Amino acid sequence: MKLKSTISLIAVIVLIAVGAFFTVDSVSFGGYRTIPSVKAISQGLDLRGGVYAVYEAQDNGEGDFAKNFETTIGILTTRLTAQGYTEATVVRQGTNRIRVEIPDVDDPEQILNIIGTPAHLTFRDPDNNVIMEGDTIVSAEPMMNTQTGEYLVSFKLDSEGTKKFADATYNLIGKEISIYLDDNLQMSAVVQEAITGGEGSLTGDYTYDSARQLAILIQSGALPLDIEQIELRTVSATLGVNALDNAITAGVIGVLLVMLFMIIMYRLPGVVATLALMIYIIIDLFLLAHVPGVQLTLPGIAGIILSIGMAVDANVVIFERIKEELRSGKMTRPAINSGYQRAFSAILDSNITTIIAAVVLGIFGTGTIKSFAMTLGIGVVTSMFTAIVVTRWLLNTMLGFGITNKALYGVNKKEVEAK
Amino acid sequence: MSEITIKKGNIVSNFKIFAGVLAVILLAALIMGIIVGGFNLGIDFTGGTLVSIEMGGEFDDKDVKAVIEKLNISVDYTIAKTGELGSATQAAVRFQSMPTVEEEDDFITAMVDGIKETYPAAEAISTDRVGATAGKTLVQNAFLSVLLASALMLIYIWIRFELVSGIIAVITSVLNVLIMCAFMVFFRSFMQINSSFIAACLTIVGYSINNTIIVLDRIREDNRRLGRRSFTRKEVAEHALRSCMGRMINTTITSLITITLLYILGVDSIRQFALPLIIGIAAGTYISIFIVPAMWGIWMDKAPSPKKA
Repeated sequence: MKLKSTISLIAVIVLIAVGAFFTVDSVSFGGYRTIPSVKAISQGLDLRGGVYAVYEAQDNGEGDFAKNFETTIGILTTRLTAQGYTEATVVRQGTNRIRVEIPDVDDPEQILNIIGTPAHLTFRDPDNNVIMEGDTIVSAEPMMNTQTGEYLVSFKLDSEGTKKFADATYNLIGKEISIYLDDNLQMSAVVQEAITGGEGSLTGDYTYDSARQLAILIQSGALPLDIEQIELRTVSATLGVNALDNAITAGVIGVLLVMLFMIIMYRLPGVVATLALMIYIIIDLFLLAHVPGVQLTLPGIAGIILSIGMAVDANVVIFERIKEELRSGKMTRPAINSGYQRAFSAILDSNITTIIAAVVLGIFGTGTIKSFAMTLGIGVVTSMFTAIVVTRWLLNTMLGFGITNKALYGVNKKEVEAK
Repeated sequence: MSEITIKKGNIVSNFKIFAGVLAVILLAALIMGIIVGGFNLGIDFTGGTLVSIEMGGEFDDKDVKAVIEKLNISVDYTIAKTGELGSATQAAVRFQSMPTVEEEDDFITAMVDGIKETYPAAEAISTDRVGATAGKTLVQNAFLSVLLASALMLIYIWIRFELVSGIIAVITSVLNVLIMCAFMVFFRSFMQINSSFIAACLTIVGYSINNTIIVLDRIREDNRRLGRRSFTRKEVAEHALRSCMGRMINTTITSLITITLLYILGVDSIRQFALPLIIGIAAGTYISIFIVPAMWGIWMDKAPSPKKA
């Protein structure tokens, strides 16, 4: 019995040490490198810096709003990806809002101007009649005229567009054709001959960047809905670095104080609770790093640190109950068993209510609040496991050593004898 | 088990005094709200723009004001000092949003450049621009989510306990949120209500109910055991409370340790979140100890129930 317990205890301590190592550091073996949890947790915009914008789409009465809305989201995503912001996210929020998050941006204004542009391309005759629209363009790319060194945007039309363009240019030979982006004139040119190849180019005073941006706008297509920016937040990366450092300090001191408190109040079970708390932190950070959709934000940090304080709550409830059973004269082993049994319903009920709150927050909250809800929810579920299963198993291991002295469980001899 | 000693005390019997304390707090907040103004609403609710500038050290907000005055803007603005606890190194300039984003960006750039003449290390670390319509949705969502969370908890506790306990738990958690709101009125000079306050309220609704459940669970157990004897429900409630008050206080202490450290060491936006949580946790424990058992006892004693079990 003692041998088995010794092996168990050593195994747990080694496991914690290894777990802690993999949480903060990495090793490589066989060409595979482990990723430490603390590095794998994706950071939200308020920590890494970036821009966050919310747009509201107006129903213009044309076509199916829901479908147009989906298209709009798709176009925004395409534009951001084409600009190289592969980590940007575009998500719907409610029925008519779109949230755009772009991490690590230097010039938020520029990128937001690009994605928010309706980009409705029209070809017009000299009388300003629209002869065709940009939706027939299948591809557009920036090019350089090797003779003049000027940048231009070349585009290709689909078969329908090719035919329209051929007809229009045939009718307009010797006259001017103009291309507008929204209401801005991009270029005008006199048609020399009918263009039947379905290809054309936009020339103007472009730099490589502006030509590329225009190409992206043309290719991604016009936004079917007007969108209005209703929220815009930009955060510099410096803010996040400070916030994270401070929060980690607070977290470390907090954990140590909680451990100290538990050991003073509950003695041996307190020691068991601190071991369980270490396991909790390792598992919690691992889950935060690997559950999809979890982002660490400022409120999220608060969620993690709060959940550390809450993780031992279940232990407090159980240990108090064990004390009570011991005081009533029970032997240590039965006292622990009935302590767990009797405390279980209260722990289950109280954790489920916290989970209810976290789920509701996750559904109604957006952005940083959603991340708080997720860290809180993951924390509560994890703590149920560590505080109930892990501590129970550890306490049984301690019993295996024959440690049954009630004083070690925080109960005075006098208190017991008084009964 | 023929002789049952019941723990006695005067928490349940002094219900009126303990409830009175909460009533005084709420009343004081109401009076203060009428006289000096209610909540200090942040831009999440009112709309507007907030620019945070890290000044690189201690600063005089008159310098910031001088720079803005020189730029001659047409909108109202306020300047607040924020930052970490005890070292206010950030200027938070809040103003009504300008007609165009370009105009606003030009103003922000000019302002930061102007400030740099006096404080070379100055840097705009965040800009938040919120439209007026965003706030309306936020308030709607806040009400909806508190309502939904309360309803779900009522149903859960009703199933696990009984209806009376469910109603008590929901009433007291709403009371808990009201106390948090009252303190936000008291602290209006340095605490703004933003979306994080709503998250704090919901967290408290979910978390503070834990202590309520601990005591209700104990009452449920003791009532089953002591029910057939000639004790009043109030006596049962007092006994149950005395049996588990220690653990209610200890769970609160462990949670308060971590969140208080976060308040002391955290940056401003974390503190705006941590303080309401601290108030909520403390108030929640007060309510679970001094209000919940008494409410249950008084209610059950009055309830015309033929069986005492």
